Amino acid sequence: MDTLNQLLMGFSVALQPMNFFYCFMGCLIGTLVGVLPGLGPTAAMSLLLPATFHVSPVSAIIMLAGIYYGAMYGGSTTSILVNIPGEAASVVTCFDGYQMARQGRAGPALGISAFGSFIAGTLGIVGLTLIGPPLAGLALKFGPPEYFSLMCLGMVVLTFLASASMVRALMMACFGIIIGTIGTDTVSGTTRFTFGILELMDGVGLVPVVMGLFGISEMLLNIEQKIDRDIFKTKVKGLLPTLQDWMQSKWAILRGTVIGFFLGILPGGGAVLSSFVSYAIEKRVSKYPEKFGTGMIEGVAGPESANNSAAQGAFIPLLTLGIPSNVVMAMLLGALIIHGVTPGPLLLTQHPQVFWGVVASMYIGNIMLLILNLPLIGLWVQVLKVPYPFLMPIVILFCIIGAYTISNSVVDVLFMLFFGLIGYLLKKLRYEAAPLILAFVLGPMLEYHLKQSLMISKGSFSIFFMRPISATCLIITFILLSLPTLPKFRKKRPGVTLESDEL
Amino acid sequence: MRKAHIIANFFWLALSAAVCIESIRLKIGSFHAPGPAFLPFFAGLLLGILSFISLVQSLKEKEEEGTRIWGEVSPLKLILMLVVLFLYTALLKTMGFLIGTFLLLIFLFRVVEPLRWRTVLIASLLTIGTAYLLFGILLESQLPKGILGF
Repeated sequence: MDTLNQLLMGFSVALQPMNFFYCFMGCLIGTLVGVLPGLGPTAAMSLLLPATFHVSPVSAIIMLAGIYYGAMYGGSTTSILVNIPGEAASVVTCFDGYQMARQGRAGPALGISAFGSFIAGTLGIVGLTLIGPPLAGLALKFGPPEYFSLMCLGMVVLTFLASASMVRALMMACFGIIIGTIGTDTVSGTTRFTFGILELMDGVGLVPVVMGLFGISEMLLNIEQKIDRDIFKTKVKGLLPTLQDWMQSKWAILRGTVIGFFLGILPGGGAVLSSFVSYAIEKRVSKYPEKFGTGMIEGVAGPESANNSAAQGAFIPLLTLGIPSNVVMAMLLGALIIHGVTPGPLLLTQHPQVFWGVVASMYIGNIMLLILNLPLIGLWVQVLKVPYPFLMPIVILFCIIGAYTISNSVVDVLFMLFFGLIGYLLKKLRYEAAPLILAFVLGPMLEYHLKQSLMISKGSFSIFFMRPISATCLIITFILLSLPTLPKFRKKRPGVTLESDEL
Repeated sequence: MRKAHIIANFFWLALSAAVCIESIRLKIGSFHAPGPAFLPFFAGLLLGILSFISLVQSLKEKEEEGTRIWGEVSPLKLILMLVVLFLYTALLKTMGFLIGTFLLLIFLFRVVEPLRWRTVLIASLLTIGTAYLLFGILLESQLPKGILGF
């Protein structure tokens, strides 16, 4: 009952005209970003983060959240019509979605994708509503050792799943931690790695780093690689799936919802992993697995449902524990901190309007997205036709303005360009940026909780193993770290959870 | 790619060494009283260990066919773009947002595919106008005015 009252309070926040407007803008921009290949939700959120500085924390997070789950909807459009995924979580949709379009069934593919996303997204939000508050209560029992161990687990899971080379992914995590320590240590007041540069005293900001690593680096890469877009030319008609389509898809949608939701909660999980796992499961349980890849509607319904439900599930550890489960959530964490809101178990008591306002906005956002994605398909097809030579300068300009307006300093723009170059080189050398960002955001908190734990235990590391939750997290961490040394796992795995927008 | 990975790993080793040395200077502290450079030192040390492992893996790997870092692509366009972007940033406060960005857009609209000059000029004017309207006027961002006052 209390949950219902709180949710109603959340709706009263979300339905305020300004918040409603920001929810709409987030969904619209998210869909647009999802439709356009080369620019993913992470880059879009980084571009728009400075624009949220003038608004309230609730409005800011509502919009940024809308971009994230909106991109899950939009990504399927370009996957189905152009066979190029709009963002990484829609890669799998290309396999069968484009084949359905080639068979003249683009409409049902787009339709089931949108409806599946809506159903899964809504159920995911219900899960968030029900699980969030009890988990926040449990998290009040967490101390510094639990937080430290959970963060270590999160980073290791992401590196384990996100890359063919775990060694390189861990290197990126270490690099991210090091970058995160640049600036003034809040405890001792010592400046670290600033080398006398005044602008580094406050550390390197999140915005220049993410805009550089994801936005600028992508533009630099795209200068070399021409993205050929062969848009499917047949008119898209019949967006409402038939009864047979629903009968074929209903279990795929439900399975995708459950898979996505729980994988979204897990540190290191996320929409991309969920979509791949869902596809694999649909293929495994199907009576006709050999037909996957030739236009099976389950191959569209399952993954699209999974990625949307994962997008909602991912908010649970962020809002209740203050621990981001993937790089997008890491960005949202950074955004919340910039706005003076510390997510975690106390968020529900100290800022209930933020938690419930965001949750309620997701219900509204899912309805908006269903409306945006079906009737406006024709508009998105036109957007897909915008030539890249026109798009690229506009994106770069947005990056520059976004970085400059953080503190009206060209130094932030220089940092962004510098990280853009780093991101470009990392991509060329096949290093993942996602572990870097997660470690960069978590680094300061990791350091704080590590120091607190060691001070409590007077320097003994046994504190991490004497507390059950902490011990469990660390044991799983060590297991994951040692798995790649086993012969069975030594063979290179293709990366599956590219939370960067690398396609 | 193998050669590039080897060079990269040496870079990471050098970075790791630099971080560890600087951390020692800043004070690592002890386990019961961690100093300001406690975490950076261990992160740097771990980076060094992992870089060494990665270096050994790179030395063992075979050169894959057709996987040179730039392959058939010339990096000149990229280098030119970076130089222009850094130059733009350095001169932004002198030129001002409107003039500087207009010139930058002309370059950017030409660099990916050489569009016609008329198209470039119209696109640049429209883009700068829209950006100024959105950021300078609607969002009231403090965009730099150059020495000419705009």
